[in-house]
Amino acid sequence: MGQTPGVQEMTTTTDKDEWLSALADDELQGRSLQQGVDRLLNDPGLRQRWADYHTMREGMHGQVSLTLGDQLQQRLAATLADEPAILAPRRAPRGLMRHAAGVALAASVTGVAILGIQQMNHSDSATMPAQPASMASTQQAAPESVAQASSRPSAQPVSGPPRSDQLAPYLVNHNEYSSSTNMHGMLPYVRIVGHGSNQ
Amino acid sequence: MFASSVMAPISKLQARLLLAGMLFWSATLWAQTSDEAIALLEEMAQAVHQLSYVGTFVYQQGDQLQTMRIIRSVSDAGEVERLVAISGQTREVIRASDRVTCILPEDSSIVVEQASTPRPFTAIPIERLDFLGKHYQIQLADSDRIAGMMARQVNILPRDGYRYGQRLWLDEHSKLPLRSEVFDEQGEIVEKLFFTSLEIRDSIPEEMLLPSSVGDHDQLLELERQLPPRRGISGGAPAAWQSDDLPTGFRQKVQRRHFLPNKFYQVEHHVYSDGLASVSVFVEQLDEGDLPLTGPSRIGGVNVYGHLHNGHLITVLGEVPEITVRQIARSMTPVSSP
Repeated sequence: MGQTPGVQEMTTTTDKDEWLSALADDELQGRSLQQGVDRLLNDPGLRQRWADYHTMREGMHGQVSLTLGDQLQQRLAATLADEPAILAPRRAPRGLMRHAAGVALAASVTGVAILGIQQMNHSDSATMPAQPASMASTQQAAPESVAQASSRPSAQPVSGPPRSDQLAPYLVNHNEYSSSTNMHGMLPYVRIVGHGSNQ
Repeated sequence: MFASSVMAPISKLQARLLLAGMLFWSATLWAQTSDEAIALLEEMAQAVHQLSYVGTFVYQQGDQLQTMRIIRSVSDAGEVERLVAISGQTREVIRASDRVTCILPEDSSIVVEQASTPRPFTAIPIERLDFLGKHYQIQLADSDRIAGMMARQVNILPRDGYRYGQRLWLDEHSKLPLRSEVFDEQGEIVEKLFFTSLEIRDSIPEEMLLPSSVGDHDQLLELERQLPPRRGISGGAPAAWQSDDLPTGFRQKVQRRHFLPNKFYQVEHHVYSDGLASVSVFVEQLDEGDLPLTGPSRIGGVNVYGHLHNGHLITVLGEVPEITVRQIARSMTPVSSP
C-alpha cells in the first residue's frame, strides 16, 4: 500500500496503472478508496482503463470472447501490445490462483451456497435461549409441513462465528419476492455475488 | 419613482397573500417534481425488464469494492439474466424464468432455487409507486454524466428511520439505472453501485448466458437432480405466524410455504413491503444439530436479524435498517388456534 500513489499524485500512465491495480485488488481503504471511486466516477479515461483492466482479467480467465465485440477485442489487442504493465497486473497471480482453486472446488460440489456475512453480535442468543419445554404447543400450532420436519428439541443458538452457508438461500428467496427486484431487476443479487468475493 | 414604489412598505394583508402564494407555488412545484420523479421510476422499472444489455459496474460496500458484469437477455424464449463477479473470486448468479442458480466456487457451493410461478419479472404497478409517497419524498435533481451517458438523478428520501434512502441516476435515454446509492438515516452511504460501461443490444448470444465458473455443466445439472423435490407455493394454507407490531407503512404482500435449498422441510415465508423496501420473514422449526444464526447481521444494504421463539427460528431480512428487521423479528407470534 505504501508504494501505491495517492489519487492526487497520479501523473504518469504507470502511476495510473498502479493505482487502478490497487483499486481493483481492493487494496485501498477509507479516504483513499472514496477518492478513487469518485475519480473513477468522474474521469471517463480512467473508467475506460478500468474496463480494459477487467476485460483483460477476464481474458486471462478465458472469458473474453463471451463479452466483447470484435471492435473492442481489436482495441484491446492493441492495448495489450502497447501496455504490458496492464497485461500483468500486480495481483494477477493471486487472482489466477484463486480462479484455479475455485474451479477445483466446484468440481466437488456437494452443498448449498456459502455466503460470508458480517455477524455483529449475538445479543439475541443471549436474551432468547431455546425453550424446549414449550415446544409441544407450538408444534400443534405450526403448519403440518413444518411440524413434519422434526419432533426433536431445538438446538442451542450459535455462540461463535456463524456458519457462512446460512443466509444465501434466504437472500435468494427474498430477492425473488422483493419489490426491489421488481424495480431494479437483477441488481439486488450483487449482494450475493459481491459479498465475500474479495475475502 | 419606480424605486420608491418598490421600496414602499406592504401591508400585513399583502404580506400574508404573498406568503400564501409562495407556499402554494412551492407546494405545486414540489408535487409536479415528485410526480415526474415517480414517472421516471416507473419507466426505470419497465426498462430493467424489457431491455437486453451488457454492462460492467462497480459495487462498493464499506471498504470493499467489486467489479461485476451483468448480461440480460429478453427474447421470445423468455428472460435470462447473468451476474458475474470479475474482480476477486469468480462468483455468479444466473436467473432464468424457472430457476435461480448461484455459483459461489470459493466454498464449493451452488444454490439452485426454483422460482415461483409466475415470476416477478413484471414492473411495479403504478399504484404501488404512488403509495411510496406516503413514506418517502421522491424528488428530481440535476442531471449528471455516468458511464458516458447523461443521467437524471432521483432522490428517494425516507420520512422516518424504518427505511433507507436512495439516490438513483437514470439514463435519460433508456431509463436504466446507471448509478445508485443507498444511505441510512444519518446520510451515511450503505452501498454504492455505478456502471462504467453499458451497452443495450438487440439480442444476446446464448453462450454469454451460460455459467463460466463451473467447467462441467453436467455436474451442475446432476446437482439439480439431487435436490429434494420442490412443492413450490402451497396455496391456501393458512399462516401459522403473524406480526403483531409491523413498522408504519409495511403491509403483507406474500405468504407462502416452501423448501429452502438443501433443507428437507418447509419454511413459512412472509414478505412485507412499504412499496419500495421489502422485508422477508422466514419461520422454521429448529432441528437437532441446527446452529441457528441469531442476532443482527448485514450483507451490504440488507440487514438480517435472527430470533428464537418457542423452538422456532425466525429469520428476518430486507433492504431496511437494523431497527426494522429487529422489530419485525420480535413481533412474530404464532397464530392462535380458533
